[in-house]
Amino acid sequence: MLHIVNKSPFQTRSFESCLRMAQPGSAVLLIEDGIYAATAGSSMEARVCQASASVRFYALQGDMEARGVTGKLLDGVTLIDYGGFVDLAIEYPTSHSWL
Amino acid sequence: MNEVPPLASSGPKVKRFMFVNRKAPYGTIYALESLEVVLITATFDQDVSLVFIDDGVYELVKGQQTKAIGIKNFSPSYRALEGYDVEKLYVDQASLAERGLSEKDLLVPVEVLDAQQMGQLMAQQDVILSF
Amino acid sequence: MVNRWSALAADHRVDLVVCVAAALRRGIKDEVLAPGFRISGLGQLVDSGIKADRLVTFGD
Repeated sequence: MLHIVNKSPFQTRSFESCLRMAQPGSAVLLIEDGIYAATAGSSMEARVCQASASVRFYALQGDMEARGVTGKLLDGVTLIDYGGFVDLAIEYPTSHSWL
Repeated sequence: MNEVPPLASSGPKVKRFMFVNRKAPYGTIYALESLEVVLITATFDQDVSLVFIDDGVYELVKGQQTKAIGIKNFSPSYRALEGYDVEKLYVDQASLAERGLSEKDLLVPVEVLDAQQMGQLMAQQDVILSF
Repeated sequence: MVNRWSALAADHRVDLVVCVAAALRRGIKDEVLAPGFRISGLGQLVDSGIKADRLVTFGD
């Protein structure tokens, strides 16, 4: 399962609910404002680090660059471009966009 | 909820469709639009599940009276779903609890799942539409 | 942005479908649609979900 989260974890519960329900082996792709969950030093850091033991985290590079936070990318989160997004959609037959 | 039962193999393709509802009713249009898609999907004879998470659980609260706000009360439609063979409604236990709700506050029978069970159910789906 | 969608439709033969119920609710009619878009019903979304081997959604 490819989980896609596009909202800031500080604005809505989307990211938190996604983390509660994502099964081991699934992937979580952060896009748009969702990329803030992948920034170091925030109150999400510990949750992401813990979850990354069983779930693969990705963040869309363009969205991080737009928001000026690429330098704060958390260890354990892989930066990808739109081509990488397509690759993930190919790898995971089903996706769930947490809107 | 470990075994994934096979879907009917004869006849046209049947997929597992899950509709994820996470928003309260009336403040935005999403709860209504979600129901509209569910009703259309019901005519395609697919395997449909509805799940209610976070503020989505509020969509099922009994006793909605919308006259004063001038919006049509669409909550009876959740009761009508059974007539369309859409009977699999699931609610996230933690979402209910943190809102001070229980099953008896809801206007239709539902199955209450914990996060792990809900996640496993999601993992079994072919198509997930979120509103 | 709309022009980019129209270009995508033209360059890659992508079908751009607008839901009639959602369009009407927002006061959008056939006449104002940009090139490449057409109005259809929700049934088209469901049908696509059945026929396509992958469905990815974006939204608010």
